[in-house]
Amino acid sequence: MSQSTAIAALGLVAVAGIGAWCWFDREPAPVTPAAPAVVAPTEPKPSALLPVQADLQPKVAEAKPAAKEPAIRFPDGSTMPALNGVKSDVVIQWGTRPFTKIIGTEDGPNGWKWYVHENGTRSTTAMVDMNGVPSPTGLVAEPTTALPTRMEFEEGLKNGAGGSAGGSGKNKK
Amino acid sequence: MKAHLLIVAAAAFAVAAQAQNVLGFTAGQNTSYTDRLGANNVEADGLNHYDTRDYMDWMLDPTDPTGATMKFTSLQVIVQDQVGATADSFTIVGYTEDPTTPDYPNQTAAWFRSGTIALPASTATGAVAWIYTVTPAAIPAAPKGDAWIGVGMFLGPVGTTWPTDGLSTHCTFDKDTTYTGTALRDLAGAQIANMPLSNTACWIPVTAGVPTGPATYPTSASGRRQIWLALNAPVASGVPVTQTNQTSYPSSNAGGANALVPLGGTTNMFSGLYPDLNDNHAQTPARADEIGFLVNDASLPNAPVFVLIAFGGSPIGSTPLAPLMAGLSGPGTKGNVCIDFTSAATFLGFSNATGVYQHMLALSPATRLALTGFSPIDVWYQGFMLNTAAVGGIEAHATGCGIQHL
Repeated sequence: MSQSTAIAALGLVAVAGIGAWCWFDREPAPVTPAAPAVVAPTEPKPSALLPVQADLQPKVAEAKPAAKEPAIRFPDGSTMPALNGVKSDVVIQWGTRPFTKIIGTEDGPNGWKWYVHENGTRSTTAMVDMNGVPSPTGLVAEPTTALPTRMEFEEGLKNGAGGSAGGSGKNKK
Repeated sequence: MKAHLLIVAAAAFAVAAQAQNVLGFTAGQNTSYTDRLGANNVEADGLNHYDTRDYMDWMLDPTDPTGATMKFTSLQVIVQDQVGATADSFTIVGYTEDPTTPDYPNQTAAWFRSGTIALPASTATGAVAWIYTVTPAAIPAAPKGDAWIGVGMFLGPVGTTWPTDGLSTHCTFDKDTTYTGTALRDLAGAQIANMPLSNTACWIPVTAGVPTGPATYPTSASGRRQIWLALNAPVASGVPVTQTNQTSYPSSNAGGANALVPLGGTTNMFSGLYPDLNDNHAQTPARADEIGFLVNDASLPNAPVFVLIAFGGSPIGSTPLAPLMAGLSGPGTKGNVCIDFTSAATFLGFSNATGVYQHMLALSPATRLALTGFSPIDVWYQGFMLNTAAVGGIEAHATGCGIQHL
């Protein structure tokens, strides 16, 4: 296969793409770059891929209202102060569920402080090593249904979970 | 005003150019159990094996014009603590291939390893599970090829053993034909018998963050499993998808309301890669899986998508797309051409409002029989998405190649 043949083949694909697009969408082309695409997160159903687990209600404190640098930037464009000694802005990559507002903070067992969101999600920033170098890291933790182990499932030892569909194991509170 | 518009446009472009995209491996993946992959009371890294036998050029670093390195930006994994009230933590970790032992991770030099990541507070005396999204400032790029990515699981609190307490991760298990339980397990097509056990998830013993032994894979087919682990990268994603009629694995069924797989189906490493076209296992009801390719790029909603389908890889080897397009290529073009484009059948579709396009093949009974007659045979897929708003040339995003084994 020669380079020229490869170019010709891909050129055909590209030309076909342009032609097809023009055929299907004969509107004037926009003159500005496309607006940033946002994937609308979907809330999994209880029996679907990632069932929601209701964790305990943590003791929450009042969220600090001001957003000042360094900040954690959320997907809705809002900001809150970065936590746990992070000294630079962190654009947090969100999880699998819609972003909901912050209702407070809580302290984790290792001393990390977390934001607590309306739907139970926690988010924070922390200096976490990456290959031994401390790195500002964004973290999102969404509560989900605990699953039985394989042994528990097959033996039906976990509150009858062995007789129910996997992915919907019982959550102990 | 003009300046403001320019700034807004530039900002929009910058955001679009940096748009993150969840790669499709977990788009349709029910989980079966929580598991430590065999390292029940050993500190270990639990790792998914992403093999070039199945996926090629799938998370290329877009800043590398040679298309020779891979990189991602964030990782999602489900961790479960058997006793919420006790403090537990984990790491995220990745390996490339051992240069001397194919299909094994290079334990002498991990690709990346994070520090300890703690779980939030809990007072639960039973199990709690969290879907974690971890976004480090930067994951280093690595030479493309086989990748092992997963979660480092510490031992449980002193004096306990797992699963009494300690950390594990949610996994999907392959289902063998003799399994009669009700866990959500996926029965793959017969060609999975040709899948090396080293193609699936494994674990490596670790002491204080240092691997201390070779990877351990399942010793029998019934132990094949895949960690629920999502990766996020600013690239177009493409993975094979299979629709089955299994009631034991509903995420593989057609239809449904999973926006990540609009037509339904599983993208896992079992039926997703090893469909059952002709009821290999004499199931009731009979299996007649539908096969296809799932493409997604959040930065390209409502965009034209070309899906190429062939029976092999590029005859000139994986090659960066931009130079192959010669003068037609514009800014933002990324990805490699890895499919045999000289013989591929090309299909045109359009992504939806979230940048997802699912192309399913409608196989006739005769085609199923013909494909089965050629078995074992590999079907290669690759997608190319176009940014119709691009200026200064054609902006095309190539997905990686996904390979289904029939």
